[in-house]
Amino acid sequence: MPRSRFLTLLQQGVGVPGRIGVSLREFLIQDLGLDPDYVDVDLQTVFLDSQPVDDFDGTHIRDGSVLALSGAMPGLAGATLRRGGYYARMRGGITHEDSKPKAVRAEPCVVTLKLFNKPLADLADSLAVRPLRIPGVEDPIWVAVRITRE
Amino acid sequence: MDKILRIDVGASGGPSITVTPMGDYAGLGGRALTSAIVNAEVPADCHPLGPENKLVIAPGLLSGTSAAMAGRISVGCKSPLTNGIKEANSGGQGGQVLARLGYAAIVIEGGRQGNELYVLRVSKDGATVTADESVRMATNYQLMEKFQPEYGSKGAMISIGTAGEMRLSAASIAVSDVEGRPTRHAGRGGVGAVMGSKGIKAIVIDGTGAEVHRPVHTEAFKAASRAWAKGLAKHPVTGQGLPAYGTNVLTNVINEAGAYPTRNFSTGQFEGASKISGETQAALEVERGGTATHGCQRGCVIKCSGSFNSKEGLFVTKQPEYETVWSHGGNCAIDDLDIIAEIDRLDDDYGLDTIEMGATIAVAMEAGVICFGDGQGAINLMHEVGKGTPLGRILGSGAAVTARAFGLEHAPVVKGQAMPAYDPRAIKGIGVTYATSTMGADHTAGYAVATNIMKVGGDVDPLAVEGQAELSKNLQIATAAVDSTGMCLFVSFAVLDQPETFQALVDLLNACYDWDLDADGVAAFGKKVLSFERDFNARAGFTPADDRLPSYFKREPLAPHNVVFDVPDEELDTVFA
Repeated sequence: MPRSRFLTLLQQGVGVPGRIGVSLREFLIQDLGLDPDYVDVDLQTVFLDSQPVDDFDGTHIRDGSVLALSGAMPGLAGATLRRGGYYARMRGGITHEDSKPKAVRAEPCVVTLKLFNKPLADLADSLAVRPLRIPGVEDPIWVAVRITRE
Repeated sequence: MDKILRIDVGASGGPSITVTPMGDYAGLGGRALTSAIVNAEVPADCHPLGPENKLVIAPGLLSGTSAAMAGRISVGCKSPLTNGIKEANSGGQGGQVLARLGYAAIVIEGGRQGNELYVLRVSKDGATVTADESVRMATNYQLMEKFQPEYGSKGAMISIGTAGEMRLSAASIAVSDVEGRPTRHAGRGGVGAVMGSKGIKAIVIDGTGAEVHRPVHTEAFKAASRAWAKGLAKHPVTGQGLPAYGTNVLTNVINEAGAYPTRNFSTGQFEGASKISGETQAALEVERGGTATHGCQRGCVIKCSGSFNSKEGLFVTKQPEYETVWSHGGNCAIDDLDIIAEIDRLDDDYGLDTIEMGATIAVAMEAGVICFGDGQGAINLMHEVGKGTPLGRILGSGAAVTARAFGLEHAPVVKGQAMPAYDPRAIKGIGVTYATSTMGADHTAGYAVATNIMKVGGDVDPLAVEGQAELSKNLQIATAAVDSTGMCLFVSFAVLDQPETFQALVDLLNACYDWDLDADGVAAFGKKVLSFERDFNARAGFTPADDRLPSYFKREPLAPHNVVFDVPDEELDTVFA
């Protein structure tokens, strides 16, 4: 797959393996293999099911969760959407409020992962060698992506 | 910067020129100066296109110095779009060059005599105004071709395209960039129409011999300047995010939040967002031989701009900003960056506010003039505006007029000015600023500017549910202060997060003017600017009833979160109580 196509796919979302009920921090570090410092420092804007997340530890994965990762964003809107940011109250009404899933903890599931800006640049190559589900495939299977020249 | 250049276009025998000292306006610059002059000298009940209105063009307090990011220029007047006071500001070279020639402001005043068009020339030797029939209905790029040999690489041009000449309420004022192109605009509020009403088509500024604006305390200024640049460079937004992707980096994120106004604000997510995102745009620009990292003025260290080339590798326009990509993209259901770039070029060339025009075309799409997603149709409508056809003159008068002309309730405006690219139902705090700003709906009226460090209004709990009004007020105060310095608002993140960078900004002002400002002093300065503006608007007839969003934002839920704007009117009224 051409790299540009893969980067577009990552912005739209790809399926990655997850576990129901684990915290977002556990998912990012254990399931996705991210460095803990990267999670705390670089993932400044995070959405679960389109809702801004403030707390990695108090937010939990469900089957079918859609997770979007971004760096810090400019402007008042960027500041407002930032994780735990000073202006977080300005988006009251859409902030993620967690209720832990009742399913058995750690049961396998599929999480749709979207990457934007800095995380897209930083994590695309490492994701390409992991099992993914590509949207639009009728009989979904886990695949590894081979990035080709443009 | 110790003098004001006044052009009286109504003088007998043709426009007259006088140069006056700062007088009561000493110590003011940028937005503070434009709003002070408009408030003091323009009758608030005048017609915006009449002889009593004045157009004030003022570099910021730090413009012309060697400080990074300090070259923005403010344009003020009574707005033909909002009928209230207006300050629109712009990047480009105009602020730096004008300040280095020693001018704190140009004031264009009086009633135009006859139908002649004039070109104002400013240099170290003074100013001249000459009638020039050859510029009639010239576009901004045509003016560039004509005058670039005069202003060259050291100077700048401030001009209006055909929209300003026709006095359309969506008309902008262009300011030339580092390459001399008319790509930077004081866009909002129809300031270009006021320039057109005065008959001034272009201001050609010769920068030859212009000298750096020297601070009172040179060494202290140098030290503050170093700390300032260092703070901007080390922050992840100003040092990495904006240079890599430009402001359009916001598309994916605002869309993901469900706050991306789509199809004339009818839903909060656009299915084509990834096709027009900053990430996709930057990759395309580089692939076609353009650049995704470029400054709009000398002294910029953030470099949030770039250049957008055609498939053949030819320059089309500067990198379209987030607001432009949204207004002409998602808001019109257009997911083609080439179409959006072509429309951006037309906005710059005809001299139109990209936010107002995108919002207006979306209204026209809802009205059935063309279909949502019709890119070529949108381009055709832009030409109608630029050429001044009857339909084009309606569209060029903005979203509110267009909605009225086609019998639609859905005009996403406050005080007659179109909302920018953040739906206030999803991000309610921004809605409070849209509603209560002196400028009409404006995302830059209450920017994320260091209110936590300045503590205007005291400490606040960022996660508390209440207090949107207090936050908005504090943001508007802080933004008014920064708008007066000439600093680009994109410095805000570094200032927000790094107290030492905020202090460096204060130190720059103190060293430049021999002041003794502290955080409280900066807040007091911002409050003074807002008091000028609110005083003017009150005398122009504005009441609390004007500080409201359109009622359908309270009634019609926005997907995907199905939220409405539910901040009570009583809370809105406390913002400036």
